[in-house]
Amino acid sequence: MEINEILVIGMFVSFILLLFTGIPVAWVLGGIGVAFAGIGYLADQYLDTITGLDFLTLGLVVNRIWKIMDNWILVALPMFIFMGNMLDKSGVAERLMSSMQELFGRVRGGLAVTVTVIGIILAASTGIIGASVVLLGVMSLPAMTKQGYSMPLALGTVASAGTLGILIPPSIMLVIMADQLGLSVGDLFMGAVAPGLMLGAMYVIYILTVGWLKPESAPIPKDVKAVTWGTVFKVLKAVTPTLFLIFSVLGSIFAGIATPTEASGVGALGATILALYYRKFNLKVLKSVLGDTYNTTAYIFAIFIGATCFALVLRELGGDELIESFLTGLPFGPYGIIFFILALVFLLGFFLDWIEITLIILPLLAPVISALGLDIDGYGVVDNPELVWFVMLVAMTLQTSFLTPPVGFALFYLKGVCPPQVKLMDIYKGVIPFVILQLIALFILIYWPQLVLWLPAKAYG
Amino acid sequence: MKSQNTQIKVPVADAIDGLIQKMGRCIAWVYVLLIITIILQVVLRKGFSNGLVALEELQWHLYAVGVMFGLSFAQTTNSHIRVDILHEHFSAKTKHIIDICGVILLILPFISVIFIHSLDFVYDAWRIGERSDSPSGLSYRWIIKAVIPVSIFFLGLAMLSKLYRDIVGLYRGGEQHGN
Repeated sequence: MEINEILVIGMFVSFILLLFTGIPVAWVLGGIGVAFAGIGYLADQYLDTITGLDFLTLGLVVNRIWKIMDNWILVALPMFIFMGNMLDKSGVAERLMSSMQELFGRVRGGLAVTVTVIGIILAASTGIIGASVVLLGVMSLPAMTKQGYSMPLALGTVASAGTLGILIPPSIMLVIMADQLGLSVGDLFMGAVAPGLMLGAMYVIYILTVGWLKPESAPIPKDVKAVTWGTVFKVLKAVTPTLFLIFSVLGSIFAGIATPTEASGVGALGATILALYYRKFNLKVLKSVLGDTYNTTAYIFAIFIGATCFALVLRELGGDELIESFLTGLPFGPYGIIFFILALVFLLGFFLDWIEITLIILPLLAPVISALGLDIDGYGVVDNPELVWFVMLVAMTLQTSFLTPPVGFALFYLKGVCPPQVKLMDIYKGVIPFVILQLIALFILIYWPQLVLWLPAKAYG
Repeated sequence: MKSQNTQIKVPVADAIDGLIQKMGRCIAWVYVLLIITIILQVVLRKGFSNGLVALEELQWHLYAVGVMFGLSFAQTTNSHIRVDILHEHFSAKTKHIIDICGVILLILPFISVIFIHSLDFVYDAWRIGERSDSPSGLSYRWIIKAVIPVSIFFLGLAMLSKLYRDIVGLYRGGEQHGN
């Protein structure tokens, strides 16, 4: 084995090992980049290798940081985060919960269905996983416990519904993926609509089926009021302003009226107006939203900066070609290679979350996918249809990373808001069916790429 | 993920963190300016079909300031993403030792590399009087480029504060280490 190859493998192995020390991921990545540049330099001096790494090469990290700053697409990121935080504070979700609960009251599993539907709406408006899981958990778990729901079903519903935000647009993950692969943000947003709604629908169908097969796991409350036109009106009144905001933000992107960046700014203003309208807006709320936005954007970008250093050194060592030739050399055929990659992403998802996987792994995989020569039909109007489709496959797979222990963010947040009698085992048991549903959804997308590509094609055609 | 620094009181480190947090709460307002800039640009572009290149560039200038200065803020609020399945079971003493090694061996070298190289980067921009490629764009590009060394300097400061905190914690026998 050549020294270069040993160093490439060394980088990945030391990354995984150092992760478990609990040092923040961003700095582990950056530090390993610098350390291996030093090792490469020493190898050049004493072992006659030609890695070409030295202190000067590392200077390119600054140019790459500049490319992150001088980036018009990523401006949308803090704006969508602001919009999400503001909507979270505006109390929209609480209104939806109280009114919708009456609407689905008489259906077996109705409360769990309500949670999923609100999860979908939150996903399209706030898109913040932690906040959604906490909100849904706090609002619904006491009620579901009181009604005698089986704990795993209730917990699995909350965790999975709260996780939809990363898939359903406008999702910050899709903005970053578009930036990393040079794809259009609009294409990815449109591509994610059908998969996201499909996954949400699968959750609802699953809940209703469980309620039907095992009535004791989702009892109907005794004192339900009949559904009247008044209830329907109340739900409409609660849901309309939020839906209006979502449709105007997404609609203006899809119709090509506004760029994602413009739409994100308008969305941030819209969320603020909504908070004003609900009388939840004041200086203290604004300050807290700003603080959260500032903080969240920063820890995402820290990983950008760390990963850029890691990736730079990896590329100088020839790691990109090494990985590409390894993957394309697998004796599985194109779909076999895709399965292999997705299995890898699924396994990595047990320890890493979407930010690291998107920033480190995805850029390495894109050339491999392009080289596979897959015949994915973009209806002649979508650019790089195979990449748009592949990104959706990865996005769907990453849904699982939130629910799989030991490092599942949704589980982590859920544990924080559970009633004390809930056991960790209940949470694990609860999420298993939903992880399976996500994997089924993944297979459906692999089989029918049209689910992803039809909407963007229609928008252009 | 979001846990405050609830560690033992360490006067110097507390003062540094306090300064960075105060500064952060002021700089966070760039996002309000960013919203206003975007709305202004949308109104000009749509309403008067007359978008301004300068406004468009101002958008990523503002965003870049928010992102880069946020790094040190997120460090003082202990928000940077970490894998803590093993970390949370370590003893306070082990945590201190790991964090001290991490700062010295991984973080400070990385930060120093960026800091040193970014000085040349800014100097070059200043020397040639670099400005936007577009004639009606913003000039004095060295100012926004200078955000890199300045914000990285504060990140380094936050790291030194953490290092000092960990060393003091180790000496005091590491009672009640936060998170």
